[in-house]
Amino acid sequence: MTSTTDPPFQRDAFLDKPGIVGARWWQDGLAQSDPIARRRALMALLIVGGAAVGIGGIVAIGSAVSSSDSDTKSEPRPSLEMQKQYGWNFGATTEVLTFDGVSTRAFDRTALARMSDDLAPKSATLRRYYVPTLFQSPTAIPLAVPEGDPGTVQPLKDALSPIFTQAMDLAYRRGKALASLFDGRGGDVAVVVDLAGPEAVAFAAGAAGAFDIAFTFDNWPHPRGVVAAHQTLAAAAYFQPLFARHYAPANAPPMFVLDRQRLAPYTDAANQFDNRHIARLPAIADLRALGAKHVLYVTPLDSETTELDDLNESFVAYDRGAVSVRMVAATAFGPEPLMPVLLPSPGAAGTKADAGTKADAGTGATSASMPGGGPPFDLTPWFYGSSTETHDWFWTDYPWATPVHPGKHAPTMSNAGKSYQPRPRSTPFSAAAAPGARPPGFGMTPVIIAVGTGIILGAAISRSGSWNRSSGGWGG
Amino acid sequence: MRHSILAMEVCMRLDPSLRASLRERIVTHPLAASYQDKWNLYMGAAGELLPHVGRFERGCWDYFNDDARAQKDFKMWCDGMTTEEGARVAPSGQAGGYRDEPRYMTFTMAFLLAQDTPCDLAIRALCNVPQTALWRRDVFQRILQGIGYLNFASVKGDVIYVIPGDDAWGLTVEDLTAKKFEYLRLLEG
Repeated sequence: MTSTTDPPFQRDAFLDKPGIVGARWWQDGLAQSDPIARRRALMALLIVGGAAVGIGGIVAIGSAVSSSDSDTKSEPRPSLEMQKQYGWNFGATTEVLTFDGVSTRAFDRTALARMSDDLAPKSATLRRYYVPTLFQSPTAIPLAVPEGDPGTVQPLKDALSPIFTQAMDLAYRRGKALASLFDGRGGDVAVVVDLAGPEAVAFAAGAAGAFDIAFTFDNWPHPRGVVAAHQTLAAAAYFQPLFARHYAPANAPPMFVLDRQRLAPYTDAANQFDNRHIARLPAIADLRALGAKHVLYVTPLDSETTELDDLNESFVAYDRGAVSVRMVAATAFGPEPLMPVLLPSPGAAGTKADAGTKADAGTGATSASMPGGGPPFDLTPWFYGSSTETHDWFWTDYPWATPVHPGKHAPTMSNAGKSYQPRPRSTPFSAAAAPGARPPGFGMTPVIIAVGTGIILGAAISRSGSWNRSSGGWGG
Repeated sequence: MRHSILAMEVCMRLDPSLRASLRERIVTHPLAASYQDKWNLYMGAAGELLPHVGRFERGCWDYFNDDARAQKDFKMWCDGMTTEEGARVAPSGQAGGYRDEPRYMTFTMAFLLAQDTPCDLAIRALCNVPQTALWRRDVFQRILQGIGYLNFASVKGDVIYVIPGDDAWGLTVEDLTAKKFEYLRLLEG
């Protein structure tokens, strides 16, 4: 038995003969470590870290978390960086994505390679604010294989299925209703759409006839992603043909499209992958350079009374810079309650549409895809205030342009958003010294690092073989 | 504790300078060695061998993360030294001479690893080589280049030996065709 100060290896065999020279050493004191138990301990530590979640998420996970024999340590690394290096499904290569509302229409998978181009803004000026990160993920190729987790990465393009959900259908119609108000008007209004990813994409698709669209999805999907970015990507794949054909009118106002799930609660570092991101909007000077004097912030419901945390500083800066910011709920746009919906649904032409709130509950009119792809085939227009008579009242509630035919009366719905004004408040994002900086731990994922070599062995969440491989071997 | 094994043996024309250098590393290595001593020993040996990869003629390497096999095989590799099984019992004479018969040397190293440690996982990844490439010289090169991944805190035992210990005891072609050396395969590439 050696003491802790003795060199750990002791030579127990030695030959120095003309025919052979050699030696053998043993480390008798090698700890009787159980790597599985150690692994469990590591995960437990991470779960404890997860219990300490604040509003901004887990803070500085595990920089001091080490295994008992110091072979490994866990350190947080930027999630997107790890995905770009080791694959979109880093640490979960054997797990699959689940898509809701998979579309059955014909789908050209090879078009995914053009996605970041097809969905780019048409204006070169606006393109600098476009964040193509999500749309680059389908064809991205990992740069390396984690040393301790050599699973095969299926390209995301092969795992992706376009989706078209009921909620997307509604959002598309609402986007189209908004666009109808901007036909030749509102050139000095910038729209910020902040809906759940798939609905945000659908809203933008509906509005594409009147706006130049700048998507800002700055993350990649992951099987355990806290943000369901794969649904957003799948929605974008569905509408890709529309965006590819879309030509924004000259001087079309900009529409910035955000994924409202980007700040989703992140509570379980042991099982979730933190693919959250923060909104990236133009600074006040840049917004003005785009010709914007007003910002319309589109939220899901009228019950929303304030902007998401990461937008506060930008919106306050806009407001102080004489760019007025107002809010409107997507549900402010709906169909005429008694107007029949002309849908070519199989065996049930002429389905009656429900009012917006009921449609939101999932009982609204069904729709069919346009033959050959594209948006839902629907001849029924939707309106601000759910009526032709209130539609142009939009420009009364938001007095930034003069409509050709003023609205006959005000909508009956409540609309607190028209009186909204951003107020400075303390958020996890406002404490950061630099604009756009992230709270500690935000968008980070814990990785396992070999202390001796510094190499990244894999994601801490990985159960795909790094730590539980079955017996096997190689030899030559 | 469960174990894995990494082992490698290469065979090439006897290079007196290389043989002497490797021998020197072995005989001067401390009886009681630290992790750093061990790492230095194998990094040094690998560094001396790498320039000679193109001259490797035969070889064998193994990685297994089956505990029983790892322990059995490590004993086998150790026995290759302690029983002097591979060594000649008489000198073969210096290379050159009238018939110019070549002389060969072998270098062997084997490690008994604590299974599923990061060190083991790194070595496992290093050795994850397609079946069709097992006997290629560049695979031996890859493994030698990856020796630095070894963390000796996770190594339970190691053995290293060189045949011959003296230039006059080099292996002959006839020696290498004996059954005891049949595990050494001709290398490709």
